[in-house]
Amino acid sequence: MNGEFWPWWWGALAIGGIATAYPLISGRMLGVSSLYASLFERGRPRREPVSEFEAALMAATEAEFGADVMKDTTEDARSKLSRWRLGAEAVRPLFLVGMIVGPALLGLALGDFRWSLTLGKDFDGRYGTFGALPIAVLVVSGILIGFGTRLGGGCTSGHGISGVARGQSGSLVTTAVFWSTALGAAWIFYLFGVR
Amino acid sequence: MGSLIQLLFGCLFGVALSRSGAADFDKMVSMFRFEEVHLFALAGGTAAVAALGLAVVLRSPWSAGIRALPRTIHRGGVFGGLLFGAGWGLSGTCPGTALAQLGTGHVVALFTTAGILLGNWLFERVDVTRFGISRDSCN
Repeated sequence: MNGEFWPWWWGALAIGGIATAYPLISGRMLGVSSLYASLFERGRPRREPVSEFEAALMAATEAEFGADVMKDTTEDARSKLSRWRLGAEAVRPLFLVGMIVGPALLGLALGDFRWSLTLGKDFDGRYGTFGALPIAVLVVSGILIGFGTRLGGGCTSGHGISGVARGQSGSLVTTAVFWSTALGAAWIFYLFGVR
Repeated sequence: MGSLIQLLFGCLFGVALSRSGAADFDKMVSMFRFEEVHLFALAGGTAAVAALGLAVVLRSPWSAGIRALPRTIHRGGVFGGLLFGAGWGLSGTCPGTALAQLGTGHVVALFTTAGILLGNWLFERVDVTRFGISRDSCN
């Protein structure tokens, strides 16, 4: 990729649009760390939107009258969509694959795909090019990011976009914390005269 | 069909992250040092567009079955935010942009992604509930 990026408002429309269309079509809010979580949580029971009481009632009804009575024979388009969305849960991690493949395919199609040993001029300036230090920094950063996003229940997409857009207090707080921490880290680099 | 949809949206999101500049380390440094407004504007604009879009979608009849759980303030959010923020400050990367970086040929993002997987693996092994933190807040 060359250094030309989309204007901010085009990126905002694209990412905001994806954050709107993805829940509509897949039934899940946009959030990358949740996808990582689902990779590790296969087989473990999750928080369900249905209350415990409701779930117990449904189980008792099914036990008493059989599974057939649970099927709504006058199922309308809406609940079919709902059922289909829930069925697509298992294949969610493919989203992560798409995140790598998509830019690669576009880069190849446009002819601007380049292999690179660096993340940028400033990255090399700070840590050096493809040596022990930059690699160690990235691994440690990754651990902090991976562990921290699970602890916080989301990342820049899950909290920063989806949660904040919904006005969720937990997302607003968590986003404020990680954003200011990142700015604080940059401030520390600045104080040490490092770009 | 579900697989195709996940792949497609993943592709779109990866493209948007890389082409908008969100996955670029140098652009991120410019943002953190308040030299450029680009990524701040991108973040704010994205939140605004998503707020509008989700307000419509989540209030529409088509919201049936969309899993949009409340995100309440919790201890994990503060500690997790500190750790994630530190990682972001050091590497200019988040879980999403690391993948977009891989997709644009930045091989060192393999190390970041390996770290993210390791961080997830460690989280599975630590009993965070001992500290009053939920294991499931990502759901």
